[in-house]
Amino acid sequence: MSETEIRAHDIAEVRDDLTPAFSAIEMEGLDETPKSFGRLAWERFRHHKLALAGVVGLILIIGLFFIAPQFSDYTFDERNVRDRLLGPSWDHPFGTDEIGRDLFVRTAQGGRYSIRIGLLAAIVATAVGTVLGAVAAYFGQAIDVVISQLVNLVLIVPALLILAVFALYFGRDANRLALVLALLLWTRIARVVRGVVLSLKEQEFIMAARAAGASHGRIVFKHVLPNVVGAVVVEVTLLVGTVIVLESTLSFLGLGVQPPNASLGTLVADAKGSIDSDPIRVLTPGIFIVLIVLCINFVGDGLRDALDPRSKVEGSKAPKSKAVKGVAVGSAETPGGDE
Amino acid sequence: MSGAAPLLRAEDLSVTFHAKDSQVRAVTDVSFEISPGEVLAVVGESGSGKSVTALALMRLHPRNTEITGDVEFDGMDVLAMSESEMRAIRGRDIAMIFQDPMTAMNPVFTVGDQIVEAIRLHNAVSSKEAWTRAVDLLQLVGVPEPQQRAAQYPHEYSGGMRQRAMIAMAISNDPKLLIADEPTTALDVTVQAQVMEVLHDVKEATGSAIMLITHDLGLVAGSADRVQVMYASRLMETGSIDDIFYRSQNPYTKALLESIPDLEEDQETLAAIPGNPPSLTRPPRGCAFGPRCSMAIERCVEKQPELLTLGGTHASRCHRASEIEVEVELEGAS
Amino acid sequence: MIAYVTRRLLATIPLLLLALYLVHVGVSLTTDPLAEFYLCLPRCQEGFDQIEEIYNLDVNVWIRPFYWFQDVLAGDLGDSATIGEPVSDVLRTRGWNTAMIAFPAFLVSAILALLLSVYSARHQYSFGDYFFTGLAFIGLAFPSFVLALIIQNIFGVQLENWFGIKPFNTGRKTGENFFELLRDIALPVMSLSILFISADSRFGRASMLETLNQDYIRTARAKGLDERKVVWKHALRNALIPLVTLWALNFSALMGGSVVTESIFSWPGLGPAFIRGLTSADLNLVLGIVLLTGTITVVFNLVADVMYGVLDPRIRLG
Repeated sequence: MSETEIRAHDIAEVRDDLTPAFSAIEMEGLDETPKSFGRLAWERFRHHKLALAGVVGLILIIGLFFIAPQFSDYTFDERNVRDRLLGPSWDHPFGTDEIGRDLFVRTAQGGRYSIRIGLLAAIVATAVGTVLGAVAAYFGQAIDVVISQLVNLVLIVPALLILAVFALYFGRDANRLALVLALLLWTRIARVVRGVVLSLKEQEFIMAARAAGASHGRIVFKHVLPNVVGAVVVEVTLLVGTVIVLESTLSFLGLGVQPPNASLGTLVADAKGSIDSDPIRVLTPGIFIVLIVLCINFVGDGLRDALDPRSKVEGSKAPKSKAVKGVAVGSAETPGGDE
Repeated sequence: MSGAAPLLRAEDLSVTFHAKDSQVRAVTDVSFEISPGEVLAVVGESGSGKSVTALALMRLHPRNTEITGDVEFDGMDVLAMSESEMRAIRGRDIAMIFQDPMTAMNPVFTVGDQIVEAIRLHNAVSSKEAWTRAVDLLQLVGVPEPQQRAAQYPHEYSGGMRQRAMIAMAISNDPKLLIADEPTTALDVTVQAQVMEVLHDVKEATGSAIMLITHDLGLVAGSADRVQVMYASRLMETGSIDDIFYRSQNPYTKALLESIPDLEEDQETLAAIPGNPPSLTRPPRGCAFGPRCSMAIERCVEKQPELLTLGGTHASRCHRASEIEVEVELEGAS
Repeated sequence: MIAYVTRRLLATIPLLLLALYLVHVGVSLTTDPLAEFYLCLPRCQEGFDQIEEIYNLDVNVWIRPFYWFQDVLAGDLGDSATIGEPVSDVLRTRGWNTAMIAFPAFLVSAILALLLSVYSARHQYSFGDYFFTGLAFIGLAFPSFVLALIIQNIFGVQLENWFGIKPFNTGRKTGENFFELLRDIALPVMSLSILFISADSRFGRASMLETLNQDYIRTARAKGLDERKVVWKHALRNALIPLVTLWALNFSALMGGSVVTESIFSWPGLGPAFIRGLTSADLNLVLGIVLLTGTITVVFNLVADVMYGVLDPRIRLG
């Protein structure tokens, strides 16, 4: 390579490392050696109090759901009809339901189920969404159109419908449920990734890398993906929360997890009948859902701050409606029957 | 210095930003004066404090900012005024032109409307009259077809035209002091000259004083009466334009002058100043420029130099100012 | 503009058709409306034949949707097997009911979210800001059914003197009485609003904050403009742009019928109808609802983009 090519290459590499952290460097003082992107991100995350609270909360909840039931004498489907409808006690911390099953153990199982499904669905959705979104944005044109239309198609069809049909067709075991949920939600990841890659395409360091002779593959792996990771990590975190909400809603409606398994949603449905006399029983699994999602949102917010402190709202300056919709749809659930 | 009372007088002006765990001293003990009709250039690198000084004069600083010192404008104590009194002055007696004309104008309102707004804020005129005046102003600053242009949006203008429109907006109420914060930095070189010309014409036409903030010494040479050089929140040197360009007695100023590329000579390497400006959160004990100064001695590390008056309005902040020989290199301005 | 709208419609209508096609096939493949008839043959042969004809069961599954398309183009949406009325009638009554809670919920959430956004952005880092941000976070974490249940319990049962839950079994029992109507919609509207306000205000706050940081805001202040005008005239006009598109999308989501909320409050809107249609394989009903909500989605997505072009002079669609 001639000298100029090497220079361009070096500039591209250096720009990568510095570009996201520039504003932080300005604050740190220009005479200090710049910290790496990872270090800075970690420090920013550490300072985000809510995110830390979220992490602590999640650890506590996970501990509660996975470890605490070991200490109970009961299994989730053990019925002691004599002991039905008991209030909270040392033996039954959450009481029992109308056929004598210990509610604490059931809640814990429901929680584990929800979390497991949430993680699995989020991972699959992320894998699919990232690939499709990146491919669509990077290669553009026909491929982009096809993938974008696919995204739109998924959004038009009511979520409930897709889920119901697939549930009826494939049976409702937990893993399949997670896959179906992933089938619905990959679109969010795809949108975000597509947006990020599109904006990256415009930026100069990609052009500099091309000028230095880098191949498509190298560009994607070395230059595009690291910048995408930040946004994706944030979205995935939030996605887990969304999946948990969706799954519990489905289970509540009877379309999700089936007995004898329990999810937090089914527990609410079970208790719904006696809501007037025993509202706490309905509330407990519901509140757990809220707490889990809340902690996840806090962590997600902290991650967003840590990984990309400059952009909280995409799209209001560069007026591409697609980019804005990426944020918009994130808050309102898929139309046609779900919140 | 002219015998007339100064239009603007700042004394020991200091501006400190208070962040969560730290504070940044952006401007430290800066004192200067501007006489009516005079052009004062404030020169320095990014982060030297020059823009912050200007914002402080208009009290447009962000929250959590501490401003100390004295600022007197037209006989009024600026720092002690109430906010509503300040609002009466902004846009009318003191006006400001910002660096990036694209982002400095609201994209959803027409240029004409924004100028009209500036006019009607300080004058009780009908919108029709204000509109006519806006069109006149656009014509004054050299915007072609001002009638049509006034009804257009900022994004429909070119960069140079936008800056002209900003100037038109700023002078709409005949301000006594016009602060231009890096007015040409965001523009092409060819356009820069045009905009400076507009500023010049405006000054001639209205007689307003101009505070020209820039990092471009070349720009200064053609337009300023007096110059002050800032570095790391302090005044390094101040004086008439000849003082600074031909008789500078400050190592930083000299280094700046030397770094200007010479179009006549062949240069192998650009004479950049090695090193980086210091952190403003923990200002050094001695001279801020010390670590990068080729003339630094032990005293420079330990003690902050005072601003030494050298004669007339010429002053320099350097322990070794008197030792610097005035080289008479009169081979044209930079 | 017209060219843009036409282009967009031409692009999305095929999608809608494809979606309807897939729905038809999907439901047909997974359900069998003849299920209950197999056991009673040959006694119920007549009923069997009837059903076969209505649903075109003799035709290949993959071709059947076209018969439906044909009927729709002729204006016939068929009859709902479970409700026993023409689908178009069902859509009309149920759709109207859903609109009765969707519209107010939209208005309430849009206005409140706007006010909260402006307040939070102007008083960033104040106690009020943290308080509302916290509430928004919590609101966002609630699944709709949990929120609905809580609201129903607190306001419906615990405060029994205030509101009654009105099960709408036979349509509006309370006839023309406007006040009764307000009492009826209050709870579902509240439930829906809280969710949307939480999401909107976070977005609006961020948008407003970013707008307030723009250079032109500083210019406005430099001209001598007072803070109120700066916020409500200069800032809001810009911050609203992305917010309005969010509103359009929210509205389409609301009109889609919030299945869960309507079910819990026993509100006879599109939501419960949809569930019933799904669980009992009422194909015509399901298709009719998907057609309606799909169209609304497509239309309002388009509206959202058009609004962007209308409000932001930098964008000229075409």
